[in-house]
Amino acid sequence: MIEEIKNIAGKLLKNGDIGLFIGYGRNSLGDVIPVFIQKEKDVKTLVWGSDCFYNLTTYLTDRDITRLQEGSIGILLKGCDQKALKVLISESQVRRERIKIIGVTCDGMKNPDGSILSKCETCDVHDPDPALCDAVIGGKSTKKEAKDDFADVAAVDALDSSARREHWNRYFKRCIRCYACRNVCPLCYCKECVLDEHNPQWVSPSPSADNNMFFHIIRAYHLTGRCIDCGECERVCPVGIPLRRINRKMIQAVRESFDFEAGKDQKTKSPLTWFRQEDPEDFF
Amino acid sequence: MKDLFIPELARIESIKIETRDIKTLRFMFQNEETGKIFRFSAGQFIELSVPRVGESTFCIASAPSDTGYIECSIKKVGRVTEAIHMLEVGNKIGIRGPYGNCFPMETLKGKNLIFVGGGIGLAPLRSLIREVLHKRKEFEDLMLIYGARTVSDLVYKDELDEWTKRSDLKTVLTVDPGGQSESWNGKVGFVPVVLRDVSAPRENSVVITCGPPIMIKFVLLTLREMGFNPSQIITTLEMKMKCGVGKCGRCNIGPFYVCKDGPVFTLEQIEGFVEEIF
Amino acid sequence: MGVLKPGSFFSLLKENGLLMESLVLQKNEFTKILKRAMNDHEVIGPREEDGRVYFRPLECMDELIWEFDNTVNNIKDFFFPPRQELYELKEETIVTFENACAKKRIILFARPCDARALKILDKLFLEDYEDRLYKAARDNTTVMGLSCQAPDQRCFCLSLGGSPFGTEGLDVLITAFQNDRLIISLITEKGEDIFKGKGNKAKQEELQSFERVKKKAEESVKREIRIPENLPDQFNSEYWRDVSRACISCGVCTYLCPTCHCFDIVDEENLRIRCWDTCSFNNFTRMASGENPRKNKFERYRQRIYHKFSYYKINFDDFACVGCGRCSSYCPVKMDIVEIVNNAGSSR
Repeated sequence: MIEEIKNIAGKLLKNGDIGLFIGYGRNSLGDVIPVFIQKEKDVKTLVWGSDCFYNLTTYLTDRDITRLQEGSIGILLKGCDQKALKVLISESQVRRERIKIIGVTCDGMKNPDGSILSKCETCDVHDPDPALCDAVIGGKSTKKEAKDDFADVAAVDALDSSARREHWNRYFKRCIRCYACRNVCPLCYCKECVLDEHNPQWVSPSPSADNNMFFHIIRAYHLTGRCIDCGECERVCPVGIPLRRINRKMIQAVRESFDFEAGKDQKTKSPLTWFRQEDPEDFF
Repeated sequence: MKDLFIPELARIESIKIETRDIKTLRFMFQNEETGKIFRFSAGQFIELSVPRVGESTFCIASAPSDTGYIECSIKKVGRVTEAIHMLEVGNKIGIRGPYGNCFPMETLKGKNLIFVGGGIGLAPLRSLIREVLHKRKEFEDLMLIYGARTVSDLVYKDELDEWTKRSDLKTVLTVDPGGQSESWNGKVGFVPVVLRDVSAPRENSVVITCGPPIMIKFVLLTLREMGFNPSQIITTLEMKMKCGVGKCGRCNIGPFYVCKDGPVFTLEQIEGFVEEIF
Repeated sequence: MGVLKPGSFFSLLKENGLLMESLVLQKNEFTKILKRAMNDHEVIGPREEDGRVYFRPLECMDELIWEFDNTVNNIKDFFFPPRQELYELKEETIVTFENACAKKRIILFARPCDARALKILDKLFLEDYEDRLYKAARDNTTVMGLSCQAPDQRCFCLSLGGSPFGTEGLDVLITAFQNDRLIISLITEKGEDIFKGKGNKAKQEELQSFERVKKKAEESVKREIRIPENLPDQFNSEYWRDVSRACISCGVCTYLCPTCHCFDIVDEENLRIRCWDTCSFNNFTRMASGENPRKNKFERYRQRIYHKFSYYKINFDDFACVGCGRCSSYCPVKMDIVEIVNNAGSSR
């Protein structure tokens, strides 16, 4: 598969179809890293494997990458990453005509110890979406997904309110407000995050358990109906906060209230990001 | 020894409205002893605290020889400055400082001094000009070129009037094209352009400039063209500052901390970083 | 450096690992001593939380982890905490927290790299306007180090003047030995006080064994950072744009770094708080007017590298890095500081 990826990327760069290709590479320690290739000769640094977890979509809303880039941008996306891109397209944050999407079949990513990532066990997008991608690599995946029963969310729901507060306080006490979760998220693309605002200062930047809880709850609300559970936030957290649990609670709530799942198609926006005249107003 | 983060409380003695968004506040320390021993030099700054809101950096706009009080001119741009603008005479404010280095008075003695200021940038220059005027005989020819976007945006209007009338200080005032009023009889043009047209002496001169970054950028270019060398040019830098004592890292630029090694710098010192700052 | 006071010459030798007295103590004896110390000291050590190891105040000695690579956080947390109350405004009077760090503390099992970072931070916090809170914490704390007998492949302390058996910043260095023994190297008076009259003086063959283990550990640190001499000249190179592309401008590297120390000062109701901040954040240098000297990502990344490997050296004669490797291990996109610095010299 990697040869195909290198081939396609190389051709696109050579023909001038794209000015930049975003894919996966490896550093001198053997870690997989995001790579940004501008010359055809550099496609040899591309890699593909079961440790390519990064959701590269986040770079499509990085103005430092997109603003000064001439021409189109090519990008290698797994199924989960493609979901994020669909949300971005539906929110007009990415111009579809400017991106060349290479979708790749993914049988699931693995942890360093060889175990499959929990998000991959319930993944239903192992195959790239031909309706979205400009090119697809890898045939049909042989992976059968397990049904997502949201057991992690149910476990927290089962706690009474003070036990639940204890449960979350334990994690939020550890948060150091590094904002890795926010910055890695492809859907947190606001030029000025509400949490960085000084005037008014909605949340103090100092890491107390209360301030931290406020931050995470605000972020969860801003992602409601938009988060596609790529799990990057949880992966990057240096202090192991189970962030997916929070976002998945909202994913479940949106499913139940609106029968909506983010990232299924690129036209439908999340129900919480727009309104119609006919929306119910019985709570006013 | 007092903790370096604890401010001294001071009372607002008077508030003067300079422009639509700039006010000059005069402070006196609550504790008389503190007021007596507080010494600063022109160019230094203080950290002003508004209780429950925050702290911000302001250069001292009054001169060291203006004893008994200190003045700062505050432009309303953000949270803390908005809060300061809502304060009244009699309110309390916190002061930490004085911090930073100062204009090199000894080096300036016996020289021609050319002050080039823009907008609120006249504030630190005012401290220096007032101090120089207090000791006029120690300096040679004095020239001030000062401009703002419009006539109403000029700060220290009363003082500018006084200075214009002085024979020992040549004052050239300008407003940006389009900023003039009907009664305006000063120049019209951007400060760097006016600077070029005024015959500023180059021999035995030092230029001290302060203003918005874009103005300083072009003033420096103009001075270069006019043949001034970097050691003759002094500026005060503005970077976001927090602690004021070179620890929080915010104002670090190159190997300098603007709060400790500055805010006064010669162009020679900051030449390598001019692009980053301006 | 100034004039050496009588007696300080020996302290200087000891602090630099020479003329150290070494004791041998059984592990359970050590644990007993620390248990007793818990009566009037706060004891901080590595503790497990949900599968990761952190330096935290210990409730009891049973929580102490004896074997770990390195912790997530480091000991700077206890001298320069993530959130620190500076003072409180009560009806227009300022109330300071006089008894901040009144209780004596012992930090257990700090790695030599983390301890060395304290010496690097001392230069900033204690010189020129002494930071009272930091100083109180330093004076009240005894730091006991744990030598690294099996340094991680990512570590590069040696090339920065450190060592897996380094003693800088430590009061005591503990080395685990066979048969549940510990070799305790006493480095400062503070360290000597805790172990006064305990254990047995290390025998000749034990000391020789110690030297062998130390040498082996030092030789196993293969990773090298080579700060280019021409780093100052590379400031305007396109290199910084290239290498910083993957960066997501978060604060992980800064907050986990033992030598990073930038902070913000904020007001929370009546409290004035100091809290951690990072030059990586895009609004770090942003002024209220909106002007931002480092609004581009590469400018911020370049600032981080230059601050650590150029400016801090110029101002304080030390690189602001101890080679612990946390920044690249925990970086969400695995930016490798060693690779980036090593290649900086040869870029155009």
